[in-house]
Amino acid sequence: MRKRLILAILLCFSINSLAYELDAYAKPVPYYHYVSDLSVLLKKSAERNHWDFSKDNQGNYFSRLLYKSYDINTQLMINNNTVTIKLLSANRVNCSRRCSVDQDVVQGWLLNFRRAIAFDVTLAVKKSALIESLQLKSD
Amino acid sequence: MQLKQLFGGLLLLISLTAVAKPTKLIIENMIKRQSSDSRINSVHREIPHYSTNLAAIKYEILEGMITTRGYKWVLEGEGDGFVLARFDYRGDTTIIKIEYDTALVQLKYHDAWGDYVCKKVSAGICYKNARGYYNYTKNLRKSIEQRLGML
Repeated sequence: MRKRLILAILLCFSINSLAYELDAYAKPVPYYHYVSDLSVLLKKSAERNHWDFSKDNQGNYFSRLLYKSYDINTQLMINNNTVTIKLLSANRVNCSRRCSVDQDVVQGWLLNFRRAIAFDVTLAVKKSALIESLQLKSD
Repeated sequence: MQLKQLFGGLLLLISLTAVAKPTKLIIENMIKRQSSDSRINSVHREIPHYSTNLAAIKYEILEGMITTRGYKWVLEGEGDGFVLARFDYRGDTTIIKIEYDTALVQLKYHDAWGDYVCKKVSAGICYKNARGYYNYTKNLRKSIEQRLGML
């Protein structure tokens, strides 16, 4: 009985330690003036993480992930030189058993996607700093 | 009333300006059972460098962020004399403010979610946090220090 109780407590802690902060992915990624063609950057970030990237006639950006029987749809909101990932839907498709949506899995993939966008923004800012530093050197 | 608000705003501006500069780390005894001095030093000790080119320093900081051993840090924001670096790993997030000027670079605690929320912060120095915070952020500091050594 005591062993089971200890096991249950340990299990609770281990689950808690892997739980994602709710909507940590939804914090805007600022890109300031460093990104000249945002569409190219977002496409690159999306495709590197196996997301499909699309743009509609109104200029809205969307991304979709079909992976491990999950179908996740998002819109990439652009506002004041920031990109925010907005979750539109998360469903399971073509699954035979255990078809519930694990929110931790969804949050994890969304966070990875946000990280991929932020990484490409970091590269753009780094490139700009390099150009500026070389200009300062030559002056 | 307006004079009071103006004075308050001025004080806030002065305090923000004062905080936003890297300084020599002096570890205080803030609380009982705070993290060890070596851990605090490993993250928050200032990094001296020999460049006056601020753009070059910023470039090396960003390069250090994305080449950190184990896990990359990405840009979360920037301002005059600082960049914010973010680290997301297994549901925990840490945001570090990396301040720089023509003499020093210093990492300061900015924000966190999950296990790495600092229990005691003073002027951007985190005096009590989980071991993981010091381990992961130590790698970032080391990576930036190596890059700055190339200047």
